[in-house]
Amino acid sequence: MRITRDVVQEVETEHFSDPPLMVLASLADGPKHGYAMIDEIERMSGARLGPGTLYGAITRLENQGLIEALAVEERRQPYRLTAAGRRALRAKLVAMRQVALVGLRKLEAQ
Amino acid sequence: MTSRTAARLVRLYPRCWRTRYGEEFAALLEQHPFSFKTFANVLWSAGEAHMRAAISHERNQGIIVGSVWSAWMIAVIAGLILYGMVDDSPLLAAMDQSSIFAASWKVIQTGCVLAVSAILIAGLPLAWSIGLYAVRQRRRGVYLRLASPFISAFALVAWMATVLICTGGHWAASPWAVAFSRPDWPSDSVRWITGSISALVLVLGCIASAASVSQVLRDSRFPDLRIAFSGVNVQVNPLSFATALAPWAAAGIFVMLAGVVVWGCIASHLSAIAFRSLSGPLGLSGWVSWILSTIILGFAAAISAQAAWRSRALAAHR
Repeated sequence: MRITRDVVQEVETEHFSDPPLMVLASLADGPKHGYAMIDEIERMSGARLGPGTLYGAITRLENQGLIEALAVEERRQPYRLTAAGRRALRAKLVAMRQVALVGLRKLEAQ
Repeated sequence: MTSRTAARLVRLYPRCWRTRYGEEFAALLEQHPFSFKTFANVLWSAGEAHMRAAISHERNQGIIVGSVWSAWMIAVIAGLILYGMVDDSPLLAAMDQSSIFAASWKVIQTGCVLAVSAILIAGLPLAWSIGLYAVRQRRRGVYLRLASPFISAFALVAWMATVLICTGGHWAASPWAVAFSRPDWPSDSVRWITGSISALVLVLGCIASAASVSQVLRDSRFPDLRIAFSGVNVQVNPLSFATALAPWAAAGIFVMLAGVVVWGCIASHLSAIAFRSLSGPLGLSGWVSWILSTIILGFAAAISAQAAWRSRALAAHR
């Protein structure tokens, strides 16, 4: 019993972790710079990304052409989604919603 | 954390990454309090960035173009060994008499023209782009590395001019003339020492040029060049353009190698005595100079072939 409770607690406190997806999602409502992205991701998922993790994701996403840099504002670099990034984010979220719906339906059927 | 600590952490990342993200990343770090967790996170991410940089497309392109440049610098040494030996020698008369012999020399020259044209066509936009990058980033190290071929050439010319002035305009410290003797030339030992220094400056200059330019090509970022001509706007990435020309330069070096092999075989067959009695650099015989030149050129051809192969693989992978 105690073991079951521990596992449930662990799952409840475990944060969803896919930094590139989190960055894309944080930019869905408009351009943001690094610190604002970290705050937004924490609000969305409860996970606070480290600066290295954030910039690892930004580097990958920019190389893939999914986000782009805007003009620098007082040393802070805002980023925004590109058209390809918007499409990629939508596709990923739709797929996740599908998985979530099917998974929940199966759980409720039992 | 303080800007000093942030700058130190940014230095953990590869240079190409720092050039693009260093400033904004430092600004972000300054907004974080320093903690072991932040340090570990940055350390891990920097390690990942190093691994990614090592296999990145742009870096691979830089390595390919750098290899072609290095191969060309090696080919220059081989070409100079051969040309210095043949120039003003009895073999020139033999080449006038035999069309096949002359044709093999023309093959070497054709390969040389092919390789030089590929290097110039690829190199000029690349040099312009790196120059723009260096000016924008205010990186003096890039200027210095790019200038290394010119500095090397200047050092050689300056050394030979100095020797020429010191010997009253009689001896130019040519490595190809140390074994000859004329009444107005300096003594054997002076000729050998000054000629050896010239050869050393030449070889070291070529090695320094190959290493420094290759490093710039590997570690720099190359802004796209926009060319507007008769209302047509073309945007070119000079590094991609240069990578695409790698097989052309490699073909030129291979043609040179084929020409040198055939030329040497014909020379040893048609005028064996003249060939063996020729004087190469630092008193080497014509035969040994030819063998040396062929081996060095073969080495250059192998490097350029590998670069050409990688450029094709990279294009296919893309």
